[in-house]
Amino acid sequence: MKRVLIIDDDVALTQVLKINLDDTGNYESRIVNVSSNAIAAAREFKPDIILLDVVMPGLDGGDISAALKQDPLLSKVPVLIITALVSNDETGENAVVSSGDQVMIAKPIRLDVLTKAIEDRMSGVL
Amino acid sequence: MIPSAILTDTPTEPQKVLQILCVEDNDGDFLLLREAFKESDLDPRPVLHRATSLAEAVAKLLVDDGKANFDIVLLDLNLPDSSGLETFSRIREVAPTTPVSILSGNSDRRMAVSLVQSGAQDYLPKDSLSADLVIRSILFAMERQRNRTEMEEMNNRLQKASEELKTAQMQLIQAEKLDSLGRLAAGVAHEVKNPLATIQMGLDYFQRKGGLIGETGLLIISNMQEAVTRAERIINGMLDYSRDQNLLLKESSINAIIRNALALMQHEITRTKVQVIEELQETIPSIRADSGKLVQVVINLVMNAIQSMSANGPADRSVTVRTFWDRLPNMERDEGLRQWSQLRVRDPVVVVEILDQGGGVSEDKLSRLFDPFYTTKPTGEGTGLGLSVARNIVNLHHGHLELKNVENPRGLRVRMVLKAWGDPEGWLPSPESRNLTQPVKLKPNRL
Repeated sequence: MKRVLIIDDDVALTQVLKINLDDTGNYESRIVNVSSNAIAAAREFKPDIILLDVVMPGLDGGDISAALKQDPLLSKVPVLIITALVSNDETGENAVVSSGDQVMIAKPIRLDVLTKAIEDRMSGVL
Repeated sequence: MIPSAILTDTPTEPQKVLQILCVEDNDGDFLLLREAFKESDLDPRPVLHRATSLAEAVAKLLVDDGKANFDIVLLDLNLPDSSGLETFSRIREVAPTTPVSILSGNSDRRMAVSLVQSGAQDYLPKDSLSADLVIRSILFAMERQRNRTEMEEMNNRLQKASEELKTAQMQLIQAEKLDSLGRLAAGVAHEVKNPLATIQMGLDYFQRKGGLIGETGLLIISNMQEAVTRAERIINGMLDYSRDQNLLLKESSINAIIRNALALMQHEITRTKVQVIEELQETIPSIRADSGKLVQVVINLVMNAIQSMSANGPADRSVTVRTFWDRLPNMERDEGLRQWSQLRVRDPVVVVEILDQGGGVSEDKLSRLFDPFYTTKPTGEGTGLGLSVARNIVNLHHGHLELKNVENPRGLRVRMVLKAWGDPEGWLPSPESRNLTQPVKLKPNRL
């Protein structure tokens, strides 16, 4: 069972996301809706992967990403950025786009696309 | 009989004489006037012509087509075939820029004064004609007319400038509107994608639990899924429209771009049973372009063409895609020209034409087709963003995209004009592109 930390301020989205991921039987996920709590929650939860939103009030995805890299406990945890800022036209058919060492996936996301991206990200394919 | 034209002196340089037309039926008055000129040392020297009726005067004034052949008209208002205001109006009509000085007797003095107020340059009292007075009046009249002409020209120029300013202002307002619309679109797209993501995730959940919700439930889920996909497509179109587009410019082949686009559309072309006729000129200059973006444009335009023919029978379902090159014609200032501002006359250009058999678009809708969110397609089929995005991309290439209805067969012709890279010295443009050398408006060819 892989641990997935979802950092996104959209409460409704994170709830269904969690239900879906947990329902697969392959993941145990936790939600963080307030981004300032994200690092503390991550340290405690020790996720195998982090799903990170970009546009959030307070600390945004960029801030969190930078903080994760600074943190000795979390710097190695793979991050999948989930954002409405890219469109599926840009990401192509697999709905994923890489930019530098960041991997982004476009909202809205199909569950099968998301789980494949999670697996690929954890195994280092992405 | 008084000769109708009297040379007071033989002019050595014809351009330096003053051509005067005296419209006067009374011999006595005319003689008086002639005497006045004889006494004068007017420079340039006057040449006095005479007309004894309005008809004769009009005939003389109209001799040189469009060119003023007299420097001034001395006009008696009461002629055998005309009188008063009518005389003056008719002369004004045939020689609007020639100064007119009214020869007035006691009886029509008041009329003469009022005519000066309404466009005549001066009036001469016939009962007290002196050389001095006539000469002074003529010089004064000519000067007044010159000022008047200058003022009119100035006024015309001002009016033209004012109209151009208005056009420019409208364009600025339009650009501003589109700009704020673009920013709004980006914001809305982002805000709508989050709830869509939630709905999508929910749908995924229920789809996997299909057994629990039954057949009807699954049908509803499938319709909801389609709705989410459609909403997402619209939002992506908005993002495409609003995004700052940085082009990756490389030397590209327009024919390769078109073949690439058509290959990507092969499935759609086969599905809709549309015949695509390629008329690509093989000897064609390359262009500097972001080929990925132009492929997107071509796909968009061909897709529009295909969709416009959905009601046609299989025999009337063809799209012609044509390329050729030519030199940009000599064009005068025109509203459409601002689009062309990056291209200069004689610049070699590469032209893409896409012609459908979809019956065309009514003229009032034609001008709106580039407006964002405007669509002629049924609800759900078009986002109304395709053409505006296409035009944005073409504009970024400093090119030009235009639409025109064509006949035989009736349909829409989309023309994209892009600057050629380098000058194809010695190459011959294709014969069918001759129409490009016509000024301003590009006309449909062949079809």
